[in-house]
Amino acid sequence: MIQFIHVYKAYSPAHYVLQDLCLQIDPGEFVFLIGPSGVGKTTFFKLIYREELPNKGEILVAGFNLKVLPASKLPYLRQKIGIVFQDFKLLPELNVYENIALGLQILGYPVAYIKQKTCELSEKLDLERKLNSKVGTLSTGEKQRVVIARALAHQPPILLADEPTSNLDARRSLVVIDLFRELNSQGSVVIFATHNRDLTNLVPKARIMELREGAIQERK
Amino acid sequence: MLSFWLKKTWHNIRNNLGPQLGCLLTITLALGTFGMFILLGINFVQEVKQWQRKIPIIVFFNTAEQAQLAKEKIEKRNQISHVNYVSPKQSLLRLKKWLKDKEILLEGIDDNTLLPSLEIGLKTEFYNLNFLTTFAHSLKKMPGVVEVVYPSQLFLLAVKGWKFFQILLFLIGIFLSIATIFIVSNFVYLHFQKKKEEIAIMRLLGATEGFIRMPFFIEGILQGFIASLLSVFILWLFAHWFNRQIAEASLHFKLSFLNLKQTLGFIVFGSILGYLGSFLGTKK
Repeated sequence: MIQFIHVYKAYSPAHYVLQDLCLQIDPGEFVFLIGPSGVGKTTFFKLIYREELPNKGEILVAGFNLKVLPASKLPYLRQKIGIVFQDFKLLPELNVYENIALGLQILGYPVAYIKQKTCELSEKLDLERKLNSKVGTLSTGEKQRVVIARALAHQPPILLADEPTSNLDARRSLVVIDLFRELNSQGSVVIFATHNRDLTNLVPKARIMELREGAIQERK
Repeated sequence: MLSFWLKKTWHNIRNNLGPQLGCLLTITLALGTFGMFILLGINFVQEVKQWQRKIPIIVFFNTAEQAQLAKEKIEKRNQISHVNYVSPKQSLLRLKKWLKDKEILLEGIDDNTLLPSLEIGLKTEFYNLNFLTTFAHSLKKMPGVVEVVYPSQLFLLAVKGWKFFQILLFLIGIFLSIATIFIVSNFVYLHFQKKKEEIAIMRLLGATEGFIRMPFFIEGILQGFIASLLSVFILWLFAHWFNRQIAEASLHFKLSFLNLKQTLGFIVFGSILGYLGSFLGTKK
């Protein structure tokens, strides 16, 4: 599903965020990407959804070779990926319902399905009373739950979650991880980036990858 | 998807009301000016057509018998709408009526002095200079014809006037269309730039360019549609005012308004200009 072949990424010539990275993630894998803040977890994600291109090497995602992917095909790659952004990236002029439904709207799902799916997720994430609120009026935790709902709504084959529980209490963090496991059980790849190692205990079968000094090390 | 686009368009309009109104007024002005020229053109054509119907081809004959024989022959031609025989007596009566108080000028003239004639009207589609000239030449060859009078010079002038007006209308149309497209495209471009961050988010979520641009296209089409609707209304008010205040008081010319087909055509044209403007604006 995801393959990195000798990937190098640097924002300045002297400092490589990722160095000669080789890895393969198969369908149905649940991966924890751990490492301290600023180590390159977000860059790793940006390379997967091709907001950034590697300086060297090749990346294959869901059958697309990102090196040669034309701009016109980029939306189709991103439609296969659900992303929980660390900085949320919500549309301020839309309300909670519309933000959650956006991914489904983009994919052209029928209105009835969009309504059903949005209500279902908002209920699970305790957002049902906030559906008509503008996102600007929400707390940080609520915003994070909206982003999670938006990323899960279209049941993507790949889910990239960048510190998805950083603003949530323990109970809600468990709900979120349960939702991720549910998606994963249907065959989707889930990559959960966190600096909190304790969370890895919640998914015993998960693969744990630690990002350190531009390289990834597998952990048990 | 449509409901999302419409909602998005509504948000765009509501959150950008001032510039929207400014853009709308400017396009209305441009389309209104173009509409005014179209209105004048349509009225000019109508006047020329009416004038054509009023001015017949007149053929003078030596004798009434020759005129009657010629009438029968001419009536059979399919280009003819009507042929009237005018006797010398009728001609004299017309002359007297025309001269009104100066009848004294006709002293000593009796109907024997005047020639019998035929007044020939053509079907509208045959009122062109080529046909008129050919037809007049064939009439001249008929037995007993003394003279054929047809409105060649005046006709030529009207045709030239209409051609000049058509070119003028075309140039004005092009200029104002470009102006409208330019205004809408700049407006949409600025709006698109303002929403750069939001558009970047939508791209990250997998939205295609078509999906992102659609609300801007709808916005452009709406701008063009409303502006052309407003222009039509303003033109209607103008025509109404002209006919009540000016035409009745000093002129004997009434301005006729666009018919339903022309009105709809104008509104569709305005909407297309709006679409083209938004298309260019999002392409920049």
